[in-house]
Amino acid sequence: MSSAAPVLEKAESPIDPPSVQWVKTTPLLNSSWFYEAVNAISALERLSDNWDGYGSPRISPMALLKATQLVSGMSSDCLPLPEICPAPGGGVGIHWTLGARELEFTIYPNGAIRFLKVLGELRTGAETLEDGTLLGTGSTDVRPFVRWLVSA
Amino acid sequence: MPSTSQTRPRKVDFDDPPVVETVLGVRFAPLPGWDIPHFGLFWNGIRNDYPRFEVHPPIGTGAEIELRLSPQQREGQRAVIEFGSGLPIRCWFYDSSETTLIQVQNDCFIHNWRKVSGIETYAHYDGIRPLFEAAWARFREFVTAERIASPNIWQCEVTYVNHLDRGIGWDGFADLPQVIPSWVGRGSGGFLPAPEAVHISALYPLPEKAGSLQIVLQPAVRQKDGKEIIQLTLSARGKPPSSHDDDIMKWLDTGHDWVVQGFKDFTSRKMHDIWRVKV
Repeated sequence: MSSAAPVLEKAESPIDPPSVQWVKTTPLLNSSWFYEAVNAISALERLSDNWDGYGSPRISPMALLKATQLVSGMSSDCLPLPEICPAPGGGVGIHWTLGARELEFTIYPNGAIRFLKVLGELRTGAETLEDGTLLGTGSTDVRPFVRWLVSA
Repeated sequence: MPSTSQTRPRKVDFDDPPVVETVLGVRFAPLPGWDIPHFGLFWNGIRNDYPRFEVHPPIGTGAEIELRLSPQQREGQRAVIEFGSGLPIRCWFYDSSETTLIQVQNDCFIHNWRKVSGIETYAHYDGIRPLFEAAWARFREFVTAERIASPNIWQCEVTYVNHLDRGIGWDGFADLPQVIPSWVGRGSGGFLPAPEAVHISALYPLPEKAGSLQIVLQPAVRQKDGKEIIQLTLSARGKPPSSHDDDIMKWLDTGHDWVVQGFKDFTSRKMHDIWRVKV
């Protein structure tokens, strides 16, 4: 009989430890990348209309809020700093590249979020794509994406 | 008879304080005989005032959550999560305005007040204290009626959560000395630049070994509106002389005094002016 220890799976439930506090906040010093990501999202607020020269409006407050909530849901994970950029039409783009995996979120001005997962095959150069709509920005909604991104 | 604090003069008062949440609570030894049905039975008695509920994981009481592998456990089986305090449940009961919350588990009773819209007036301790006292009395009556042992209190707690929004009195952590006088913000040799973020945790003793006041300052994002804030949390905790209601309320009054006076002392006069200090 094998004596190997059982594998403990990470819980699917909220990652925040139970607290007496009711008003929900996410500490900015949870991880090194999170503070920079929030700063980068905040900086987009300063863009004015026509920031791209093609008539795009300024970044919508709803897109900024959803982008902040999205990275907050991943804040306790050890991830590289994503590329954060304005998206045409007044949205926000968040993009990670980790090895052969790319994860991209596009947050639209109305707060809707689309995701795109790209898995590259380094040997053949082929790519597998998956896209869809992100239904929520809580930690339980975004953790499957984090797990996919950091998978070998 | 309910004790009163209405006649107590306010030692600290602001017209526009940054408090977003208050917590008054007691921790006690796990109640023998308390089980799942008691949550529902208790809710039945307070449902008119607290019509909504949620079920949450319990707050740790020192024993915290243990991951335990049984000797019989074989490869591929999952570990069992055990909760040190017994029932793995904490129930929330809150009012329809979602400003007042009662949290119950088999070893603690907590009353929260919070700002929801951000424009409502802070209820002040004078207004919150009677709410806690009334709710606690109902809980006491319930455990007595159910023939559950009277709670043996080992800790009282008063916590105030304050949010200092970026752009109101501070724009970056280089400004922190203007918010918190005890933070000078300079190194001894001038090598370090201004910090990008600061997290402070300080513990102060209460007189006569009544407990301690913990002050935690941390940068955070408020989930409701995505705003960057400094969250300044002051928590007074300690053991009352006995488990009698008079001693509990007296301890909470002392804890509250330390929280509000500690808050005023910890923060700068510039911020007091922004919050429109009265006393």
